[in-house]
Amino acid sequence: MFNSLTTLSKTNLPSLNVPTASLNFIGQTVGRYFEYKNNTKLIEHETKKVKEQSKIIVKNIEAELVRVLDENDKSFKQEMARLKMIGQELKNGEKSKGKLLKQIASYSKMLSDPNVPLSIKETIPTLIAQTNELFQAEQSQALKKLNLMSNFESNTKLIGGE
Amino acid sequence: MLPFIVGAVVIGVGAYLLDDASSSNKRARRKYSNTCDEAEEWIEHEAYHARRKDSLDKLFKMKKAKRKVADAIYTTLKQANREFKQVNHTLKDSKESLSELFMKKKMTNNRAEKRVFQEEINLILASRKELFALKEQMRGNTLELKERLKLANTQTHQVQDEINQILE
Repeated sequence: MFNSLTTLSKTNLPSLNVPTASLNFIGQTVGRYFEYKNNTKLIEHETKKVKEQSKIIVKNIEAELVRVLDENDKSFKQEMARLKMIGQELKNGEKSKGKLLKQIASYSKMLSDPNVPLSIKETIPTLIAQTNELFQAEQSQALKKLNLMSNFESNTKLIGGE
Repeated sequence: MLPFIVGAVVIGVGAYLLDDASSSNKRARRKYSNTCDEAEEWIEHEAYHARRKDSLDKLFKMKKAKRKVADAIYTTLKQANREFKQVNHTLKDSKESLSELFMKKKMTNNRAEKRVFQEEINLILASRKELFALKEQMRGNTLELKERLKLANTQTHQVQDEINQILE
């Protein structure tokens, strides 16, 4: 329709006896009218597109959040299982340390027991020293395990949140 | 005459249509601009909430883990204190035995007996030396555990502060 009207505006219509300049003006006006209309349609289409795109972006944000939270959850569960395991190892270490201390105490008691022969008593300070070493080794192991537990932040792969 | 009338009508209608089309074009542009702003705000709002939720989730997990570490240190420290008391108790017992042996040694006039008592005293002194070394090592360990517990508690509080800041 736009094209036909433009053509019409360029045609001299002698039957109506309308001057060419007026027809050109009308043609240009109609042309501008359709140009505006086309632009309006285009803008409305773009508006619709922006709305749709923003919906897609928001959906993507939500999906990314769900993915990150899920990944963090997995990583966190793994890390907590590791902490639990180390905690159990620490408890076991405490038990063996307790046994070693009891052993030291019983060696010490043997020293004051008159029924224990002197030949056995002579070995006791060395036995206490050896048990002492074992105890200290257990103690440093416990500290190492606590260090491992404290490395939670670097061990876990918690992502996002910055 | 007719062409002038037709011309005037056409110009009037044309001007009206042109004005209408132009204003609907302006309205559409305004609407487009508003939609763009709204979409941007919407996306920003969603992104902000996503970041917030993500940060909170991360911090809560962090706090739970730090609490667990602090609890483990606390339990170890408690155990270390018990062990320290146990060693003190053993030392006290050996001190009593030592005093007893000194007394026995003093009471007897028999040289051979005196020598045996002295040997036993030496053995107890040697074992006490080991016990003192153990006690000293335990003291150092307890101090270190106390420091670690302090640090773990501070870190847990820091995470809580971060959570509070986000929640505010």
